[in-house]
Amino acid sequence: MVTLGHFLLLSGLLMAIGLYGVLTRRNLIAVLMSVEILLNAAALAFVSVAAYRDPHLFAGQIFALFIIVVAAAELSIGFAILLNVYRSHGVVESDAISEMRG
Amino acid sequence: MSYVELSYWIPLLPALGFAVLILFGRSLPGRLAGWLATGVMAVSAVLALGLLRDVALAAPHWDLAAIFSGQSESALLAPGSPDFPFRLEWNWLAIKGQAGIPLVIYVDALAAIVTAMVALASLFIHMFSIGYMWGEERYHTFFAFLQLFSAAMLAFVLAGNFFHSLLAWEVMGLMSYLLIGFLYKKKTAQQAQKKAFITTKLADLGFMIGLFWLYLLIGNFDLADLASEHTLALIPAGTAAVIGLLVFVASVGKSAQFPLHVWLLDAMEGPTPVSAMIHAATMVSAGVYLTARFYPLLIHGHALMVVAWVGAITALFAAVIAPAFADVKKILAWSTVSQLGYMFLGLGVFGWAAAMFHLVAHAFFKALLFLGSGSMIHGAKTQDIFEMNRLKKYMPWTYLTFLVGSLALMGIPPFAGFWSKDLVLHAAEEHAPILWLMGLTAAFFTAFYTTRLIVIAFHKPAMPSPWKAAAWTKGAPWLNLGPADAPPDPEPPQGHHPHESGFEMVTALVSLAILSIVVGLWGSPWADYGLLKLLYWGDAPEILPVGKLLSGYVIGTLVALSGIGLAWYWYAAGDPLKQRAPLWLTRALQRRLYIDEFYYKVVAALGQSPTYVLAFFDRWVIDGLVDLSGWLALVASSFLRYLQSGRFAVYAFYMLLGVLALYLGGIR
Repeated sequence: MVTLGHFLLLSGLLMAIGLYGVLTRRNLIAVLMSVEILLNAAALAFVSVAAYRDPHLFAGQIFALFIIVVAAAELSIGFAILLNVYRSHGVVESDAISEMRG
Repeated sequence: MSYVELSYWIPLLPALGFAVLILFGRSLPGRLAGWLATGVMAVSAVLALGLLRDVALAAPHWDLAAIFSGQSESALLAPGSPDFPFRLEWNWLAIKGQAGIPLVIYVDALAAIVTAMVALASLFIHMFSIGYMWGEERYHTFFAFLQLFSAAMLAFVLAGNFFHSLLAWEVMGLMSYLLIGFLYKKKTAQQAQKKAFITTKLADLGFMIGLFWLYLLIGNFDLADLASEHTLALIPAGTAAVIGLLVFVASVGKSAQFPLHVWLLDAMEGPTPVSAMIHAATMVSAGVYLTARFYPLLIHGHALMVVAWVGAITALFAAVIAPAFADVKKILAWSTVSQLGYMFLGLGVFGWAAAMFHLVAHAFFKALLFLGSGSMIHGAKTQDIFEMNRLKKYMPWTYLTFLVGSLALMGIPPFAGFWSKDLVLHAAEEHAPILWLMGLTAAFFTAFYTTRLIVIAFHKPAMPSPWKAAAWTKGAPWLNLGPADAPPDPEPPQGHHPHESGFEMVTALVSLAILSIVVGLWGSPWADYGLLKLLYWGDAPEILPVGKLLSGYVIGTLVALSGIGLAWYWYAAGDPLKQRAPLWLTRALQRRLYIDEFYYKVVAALGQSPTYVLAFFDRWVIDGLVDLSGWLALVASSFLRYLQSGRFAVYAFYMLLGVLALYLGGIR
C-alpha cells in the first residue's frame, strides 16, 4: 500500500538531495541541476497531496505545471548567466565568481 | 469706467513688467528692456494721476481759512462723495466660506497722492536709468528689480489691509537688498547690502509683533477700521502706545532714523538711480507713511512725543554730520536722513498733513537731487565733490535742475521745501518749542551743506580732495570700507573734461524739476493749500498747524539764507581747502559720531558672547553625536563584512537557516 506519506518522504529526500547539491557543488552546472531537483521535489509534493486529499480539484496539478514552466525559464536564464561566467572567467566554478566578497 | 476700479492695475502692471523682464529680458535688444519698463511705469503713472483726479473730485472740501482761525466746525464746505474713501475688496485666503484675509485696496487722499508721487518718481527714475545703466552687466535684471520694487511700493501704498502692507514692505526690503548689491562684485556693495538688510529686518520684527498683537485685540488687519472710534475703544491706551511704538520701530528702521540710520549711508553703494528711487524718494518714506497710517493708534496711546523726538534728533544730527563728507551721494544720503527726520517731527507734533506734504515734496526734489548727482558722477567720473571740475560750465542742464532741487531742499521760497518744511516747523512751534529750535538749527545746516556741495562741485575747479589724507584711512573694522568716505576712483582725474548727460537723463531731470516746483506750489497759499486741503480729515485733532504762518515763513527763510551765506563766505569767497574744522570734530563727524562703531563693539559683542557657548555645544555635543553614529556604523561593519563571502552557496545556506528559523519560530 503506497500512502501519501511515502510520496512525501520521497519528496523530502529529493529536497534534501537538491539542497545538498546546491550548497556543496562547485560546478555551476551541477548547482543548476540540483535546483531542478529541488523544484521537482516541490512539484511531486503538490501533485501527491492533490491526488490523495482532493482528487476532484486539480489545484496541485496546476501548480505542478506552473513549476515546470518556472523551471524552464529559470534554467534558460541560469544557462545564460553561466555562459557569461564562462566567457569572462574561463571556468564554471562557483569559487571563481566571488568578487562580491566584503 | 472710473480710475478707482482700475486702481489695482497700478501695482499689477509693474509686477507683470517684472515677470516679463526677468523671464525674457535677456533676449531684448539694445535699450528695449529699459524702454519697456519705462513704458509700463508711464501707464501706471497715468492711472495713478487719474486716480488722484477721481479722489480730488470725490473728497470733501474744507475751508482752510476757517480752520486757521480756529472755527473747524464751520469749515466743511462740501461733504464729498458718499463712496469716499474708495474701497475695492476681494476675497483672499477664504476657506469654505470662512472669512480669510480680504484683499483690500483703500484709496483715500493720502493713498492717492502718494501713489501718484511714487508712480511719477518711478517713471522718471526708470527713464534716467535707461541712459545711466546702459553698458552695465545685467541691464534687464536691473529694470526687472526696479519694476518689482515699484510694484511693491505701489501695493504698499494702496493696501487697505496691514497684512498686505507687511507683505509689500518685505518685498521692498528684499528689492532694496538686491539693488544695493547690484554691483555684486564690489566687496563694499556686498557688505552694504547685508548691513541694510539686517538692520531693517531687525526693525521689521516690531512691525510683525505689533501687527499680530493688534490682530489679537481687534480681530482684523483693516486699515480703515483702525481709525474708527469703535475699534480704538477695544484697545487700552497703554497697549495702543506699545503697539504703535513697535510699528514705529519698523518705520525707524525703514526710514533710517536715529538710532537705526546706519544702513542708509552704506546703501549708497547701489547704482545712483537706486539711491534716488529706493533710498531717497520712495522706500524710505514708506516708514513715514506707515507711521501716518498708525496715527490714530499713536494718538490713542499718547505716544506721539517719541515720534517727534526721534524725528527732531535725526533731523538735527544728520544735518550736522553732512558737511563733513565729500562724496556727493553720501552728502545727499545724510540729507535724506535729515529730511525724513522732519517728516517724523511733523507727525509727532500733530502736523500730519504738513508731514505728508513734506513727504511728497521731498520725494520729488530728493529724487531730482540724486539723479542730478548721478548725472554729475556720470559726467565727471568721480563721486568726490572736490574733484569735480566746474561742472556748471560743462553740464548746464544738470546744474540748473540741481539748483532747483537744492533750493527746494534748503527751503528758499517759492520752492517746494519752503512750503512743506516750514509747515512742519510751524506745527513744532505750536506744540514743542524746543523741537522747533532743533528743526530750525537743522534747517541752517541743511542750507550750509547744500551750498557747500553746489559751490565746490559746480563752481570751483577740481582740487586734490582733502579727504584722502592718511588720517581717514582707518576704516570701520567690520565693514572695511577703506577710508570713511573713500571715493571709488583712486586717481583724481585732473585733466578730465566733464560732459553733459544724454537725452533720457536730461529729460528725467527736467521733468522732476518741474514736478517738484508744481507740487510745492500746489500746497502753497497761492494755490489755496490745495494739497493740504485734500489731506485734511475733519475729525483728526489739529491736523493742520494753526497760527503765525507769516512770521514762521520769514524766520525759516532767514535761517536758510544765513546758512547759505556762511557756506558762500567759506567756500565760494574763500579757498575751500583752507576751511578746516578741528581735527577731533572732523574725525568724529567722519566716523558718523562713532555710532556704527558702538554697534560693532558693544551690541555685536553682546550678541556674540552667548554664541561661544552655543558653538562649543555644537562642536562637541551635536557634532559628537553625529560622529559617534558614524563610528558605530564603521565598527559594526568591520565585523559584519565577513558575512559577505561572495559565494552564493553560503548565501543559499543563510537562506536555508532563515527558513528553518521561521519554521522553528512558529510559522507553519
